[in-house]
Amino acid sequence: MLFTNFSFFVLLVTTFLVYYFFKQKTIQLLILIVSSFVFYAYSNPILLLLLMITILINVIVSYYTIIEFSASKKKTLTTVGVILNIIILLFFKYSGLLASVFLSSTNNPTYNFLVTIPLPIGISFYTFQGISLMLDTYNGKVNSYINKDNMNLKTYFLEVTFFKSFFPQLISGPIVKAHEFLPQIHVKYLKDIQWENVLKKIILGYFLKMVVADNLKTETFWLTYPYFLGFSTFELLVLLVGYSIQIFADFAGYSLIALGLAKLFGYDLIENFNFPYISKSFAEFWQRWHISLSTFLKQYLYIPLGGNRNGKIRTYFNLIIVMVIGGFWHGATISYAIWGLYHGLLLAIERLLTFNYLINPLLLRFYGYFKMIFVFSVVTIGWLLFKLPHFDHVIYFVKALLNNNMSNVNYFRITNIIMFSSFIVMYHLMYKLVDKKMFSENIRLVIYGILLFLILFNSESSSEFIYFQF
Amino acid sequence: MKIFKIIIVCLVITLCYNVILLHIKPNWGEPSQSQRNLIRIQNFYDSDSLFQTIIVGSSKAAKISTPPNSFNLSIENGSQFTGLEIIKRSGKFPKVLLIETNIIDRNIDYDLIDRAIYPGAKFLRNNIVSFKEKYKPSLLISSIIFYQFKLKNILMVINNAFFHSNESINIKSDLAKIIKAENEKMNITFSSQYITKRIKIIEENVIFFNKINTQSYIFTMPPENHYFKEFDFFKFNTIRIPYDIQAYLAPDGNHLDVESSKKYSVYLFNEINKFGYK
Repeated sequence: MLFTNFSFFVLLVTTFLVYYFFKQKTIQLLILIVSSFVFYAYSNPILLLLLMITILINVIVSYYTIIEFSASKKKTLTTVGVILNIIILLFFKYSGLLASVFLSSTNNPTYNFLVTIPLPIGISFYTFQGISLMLDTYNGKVNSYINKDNMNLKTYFLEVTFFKSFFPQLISGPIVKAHEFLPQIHVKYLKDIQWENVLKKIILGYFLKMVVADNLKTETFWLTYPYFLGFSTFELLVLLVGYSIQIFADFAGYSLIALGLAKLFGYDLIENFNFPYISKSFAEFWQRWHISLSTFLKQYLYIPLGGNRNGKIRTYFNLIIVMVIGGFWHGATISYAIWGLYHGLLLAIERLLTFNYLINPLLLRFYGYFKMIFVFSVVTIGWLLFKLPHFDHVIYFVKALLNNNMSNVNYFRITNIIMFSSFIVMYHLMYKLVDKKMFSENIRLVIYGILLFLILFNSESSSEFIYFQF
Repeated sequence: MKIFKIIIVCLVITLCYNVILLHIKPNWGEPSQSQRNLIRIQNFYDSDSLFQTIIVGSSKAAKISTPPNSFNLSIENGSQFTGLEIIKRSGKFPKVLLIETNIIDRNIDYDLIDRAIYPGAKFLRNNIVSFKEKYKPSLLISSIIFYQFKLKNILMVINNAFFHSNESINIKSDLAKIIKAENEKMNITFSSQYITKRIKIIEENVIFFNKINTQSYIFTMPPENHYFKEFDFFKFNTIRIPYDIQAYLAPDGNHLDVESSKKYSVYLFNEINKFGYK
């Protein structure tokens, strides 16, 4: 089910009304779990079975990790839990790739079976949440919350099921960590809803998705192979920038809707985007883009690998390996791995070249804007690997970019891309340049009124969110 | 309270926008492919006319110019199946139905249809005109930026200064070769059973329309000539591809240019007239 479907709206309103009618935590949790299962199973009910199996594995292993006193047994249980989550992810997401690398494709039934395994929607997100639960229980981060409530297996089962399946974040995150979410579970009251905050997040989210991303999608469609081969260099560049804006608006829009919806039911999720395109360095970009994934990778992978504590070479290696894994997390193709490697190398090179600036503050300010544009441009080039997951198509694109110096340009298409992209440019500039006090409350309300008007009258067809495929 | 203020602002803007639309006739920007599809469907569905001839097909047939009392319901990046479904849902059955058959593997685009046809859609669009796809605010804004703010001129200067070289580059023919190769690859991947199955669906539609006195004809757009053997097997009323097929130019290997489209439109309706329909 999509956040933009009418059926979702019906589910949301029904759930909301029933949820706040009851004042018992257990019943409220059950209502949200049932709604989440309906949300997840709506288009493909069989996938619910896999979600339930992963929930069961995570509940049992993490519960016994908590009640176990022996440190070695705790470690063994956690290792088993993490490995089981990874196996599920590998099997459903990467078996096709592994089969094509290691098995012969001619009349091999194992190969034929592996390459046809469907990718369950949201699997990358909920398995990462499972890993977070395992590691947080092992590190004792959730024990205090569990001990405090003197929890039994039944209650724990209910709460972990809710943590793993809560519908706003189930399919595309933000990736919620167990120690951040589980302590929030208690009875919720209608009077506690911060309506203004909820509505602003939801309006902005739907605007980014349905007005900006979906309208840009109708233009960036032409970045598909082989259509882009006939476009001029100028158009190809504008299309690529348009895609860069689209992917931000699509994913940030989804995350904002998720945050708003979670807040509607009394839960706070982690902010997933913090104006990433104003970043002046690649390290800063990753502190602002898909924050829940980058903090997950930092906390559960980069730091356990040694982080920056074991010398420069090891730090560079850790950065690259974490980003390659992050790339592979997005999809089982070589392009995603290259995209991860690309960002890993950028982070490593940036770290290598860092020096203290001893120049005029005014020049430094212009240099800052230059770096902002530079980081945006380099990141945008990287998105090509997202749009064209077949690497040979990327090569074709680069060839077209270098060769198609034509005067035959569709300037209206470029105008449309500039127009929709300008919303995101303004969104970032308002954060960067304008003192927030400049906007009185009334001006803000007018802006939200305009956004609502545009959602109603300028939405494009809402296809799936780009990050659903991951 | 603030929520109500946001809603009131939205309602005021909606009212103003609709009043503007009723009183001025501005230039509109160029719609995207999906917008063009939606505009076409809304124009068809919201119209009170009954059309004598309707064309359904893909983007290849979308450029066919139709005589009065006819409607081209071809869907770009879509297929005849979407057009046929729209006719069924609207209940506006023509006397003559022309079905383009170059593309047979694309299914009905229900998302597109549902965005145009839903309970009360016609009433809503006729009374609050801003709900019409062709009156989207972005089409007005892009037109203002493009014409009033002379963005086109600025973009042309940029293109000529940085990207346009004077060398003649025959990229279109390269593209045509690649697209042709891609199409051939795609056709090879279709098994004969699959093609037969898809043609069978077209046949079921033709039988359905014949029952309600709509004469259906299948035709193929140049420069291709696929599936004719298969269609012959099912005994369709067929408009044959013109003998001078080489005279129809498709610069991208797929879609006829403007002149060829006009020429083919004349040919198509002449052929129909031979069957006695005018």
